[in-house]
Amino acid sequence: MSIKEQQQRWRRDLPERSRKRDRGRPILFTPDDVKADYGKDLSFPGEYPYTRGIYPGMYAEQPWRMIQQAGYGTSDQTNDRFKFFIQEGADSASVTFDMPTVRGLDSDHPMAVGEVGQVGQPIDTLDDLRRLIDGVPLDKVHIALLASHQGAPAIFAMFVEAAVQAGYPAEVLRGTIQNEFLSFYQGLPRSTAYEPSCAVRLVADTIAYCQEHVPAFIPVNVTAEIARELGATATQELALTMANGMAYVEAAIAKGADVDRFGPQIAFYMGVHNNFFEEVAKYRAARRMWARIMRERFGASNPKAWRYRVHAQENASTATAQQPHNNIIRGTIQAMAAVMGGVQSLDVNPFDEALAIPTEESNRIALRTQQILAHESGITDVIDPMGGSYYLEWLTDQLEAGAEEILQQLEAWGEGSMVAGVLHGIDSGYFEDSITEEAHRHQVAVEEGEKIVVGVNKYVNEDEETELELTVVDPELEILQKQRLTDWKVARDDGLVERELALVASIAKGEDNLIPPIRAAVRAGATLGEICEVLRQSFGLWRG
Amino acid sequence: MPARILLAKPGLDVHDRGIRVIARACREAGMEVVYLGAGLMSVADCIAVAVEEDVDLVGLSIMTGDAAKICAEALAQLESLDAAEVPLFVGGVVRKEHLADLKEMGVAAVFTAGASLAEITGAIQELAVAGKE
Repeated sequence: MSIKEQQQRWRRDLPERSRKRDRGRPILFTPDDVKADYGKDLSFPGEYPYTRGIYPGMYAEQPWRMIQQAGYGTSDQTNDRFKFFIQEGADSASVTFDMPTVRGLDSDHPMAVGEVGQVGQPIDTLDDLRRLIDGVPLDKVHIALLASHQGAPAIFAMFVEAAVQAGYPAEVLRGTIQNEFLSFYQGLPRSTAYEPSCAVRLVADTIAYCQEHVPAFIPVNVTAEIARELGATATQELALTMANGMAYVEAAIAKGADVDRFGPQIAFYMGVHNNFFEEVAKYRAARRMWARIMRERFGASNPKAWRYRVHAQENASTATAQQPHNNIIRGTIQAMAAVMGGVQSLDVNPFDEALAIPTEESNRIALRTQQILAHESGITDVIDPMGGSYYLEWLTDQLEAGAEEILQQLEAWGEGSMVAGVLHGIDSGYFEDSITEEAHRHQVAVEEGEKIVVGVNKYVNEDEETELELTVVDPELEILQKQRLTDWKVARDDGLVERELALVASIAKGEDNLIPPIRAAVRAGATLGEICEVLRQSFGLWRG
Repeated sequence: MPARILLAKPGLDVHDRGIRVIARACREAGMEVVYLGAGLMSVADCIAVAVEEDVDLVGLSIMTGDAAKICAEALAQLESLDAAEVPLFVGGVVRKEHLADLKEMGVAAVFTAGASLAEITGAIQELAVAGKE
């Protein structure tokens, strides 16, 4: 009897309830569902198309890089937290920024009152970056700057400048600037003000600049994680990540950069959501898709340019404010999915993420979660331990096929150009609408009890009183930050700053690379808000 | 006549998932929505648009800002533009101890975590009807 015939027999005997479910989406998979050709579609770790991992030995060589996020108060508080992470065994740290910085405004802007250092850390000047990296061994610890907004190019320039001044040669300087403007327009379309095509140019400029001057630095961390946080499905996240990656590579090539040289420095940043198997499959599908895109579409011949290096960031939207300790369990399951998915680095959410800036204690538990997985669980004993699971292989194909459909739509809009396709998706409201649609669908499903969120719509503690020690950002820090900014402006040469800013403005209107003049302006003492203002003026404003 | 409402997130905050879902739900419930999103606008700017658009109701989403300050400013602005009769409601992160203050200053409704879409759209409809009478 063939597998198919046996499965039909099994199906006939199913109890009513499971038979009904099976008709919706199958509840059992068999070898018949695995369509992958082993040599062509899966292959070996470290070999094209890298479905099973981008390095031959994967975690047998070394575990993933363990990262935690920091950012609140001023650079001093973030720097302290960095040192705490390192002391507790983290390999890397990422930085988040406050709302004025996200909006490209300095801490002394009238709208910034009450917002400075609240949900991230402020960046006004080069001095803030110097304080941020003070005493942090940048040759050992990888710093990721999670800036994908107006201030990104200024923050990148400030970081490079501060690091070089601290004695790290640009030729070997490592670090990451997220620099993912497209993901911002897709997820938060009304929050970024540069014309989108100009933002793509900024990313291409950063890629080209890094290729020549800071070759070990990651100039863009391609992502659709924001879209996922706002409601997008795993399939949409996968498609948008690929689309954005293609758009940046296309733009950098158009700028004259060499895909075999800059390709290996393109890195990715994906969310980890609740559905365990779907998340594992997503990472596997992403590797296979990106390898083919780089090799076949862009003609890259350097195998390093085919490799999908990815950071996994647990989705904060899965954390609940209710019964916050449950988030430790969610974080653990998501971390397992990321590790089974073969990621290069991972950030586990501290359990108080939905309530406030995490404390040292919650950060430590998050880091320990990673360490326990790496050293106690046995998950790292073999590479791609779930590869070959009938279900997982089917799901990997399924996600890839779904993402391909979205990519074809974008491709059609762009008439072959992914930059044009994605920009059309932004301008037409396609991304905003389709993501909001999913967020609405999710909300309705939760309210109707069709989707269960433990502690929120089921197993609710009616008299829950949270007695947690939460981080409170001292309002005095806003005053301190503004004072530093004032002092900085008094000490600098205003004439020089004006000349450098004028140069940024003139180059912004032409075709040359914008990073060198931005770095010069930063060195002269220009603030993030001033640089962003020049770019807003030069590029024009965009409102979705 | 369907209710015509303005939804906005004043100030710098960009966390707009909640208000986008509300906008979508209100449209589905048959309302006309003028949606400003997280458009980097001051409270005064948002209210000015509301008056210009002649809406029946104004809804503001608040997460990182000070709810009491934002509401006081919005109500004052409505009054100064001769639109004091337009009800103001807010949603988002509002501390428990502020709820009474908001009611007292004249905020028509406050929706915090746990409020359902049906509850919110129902209350908005009622406010709009009451406002028109």
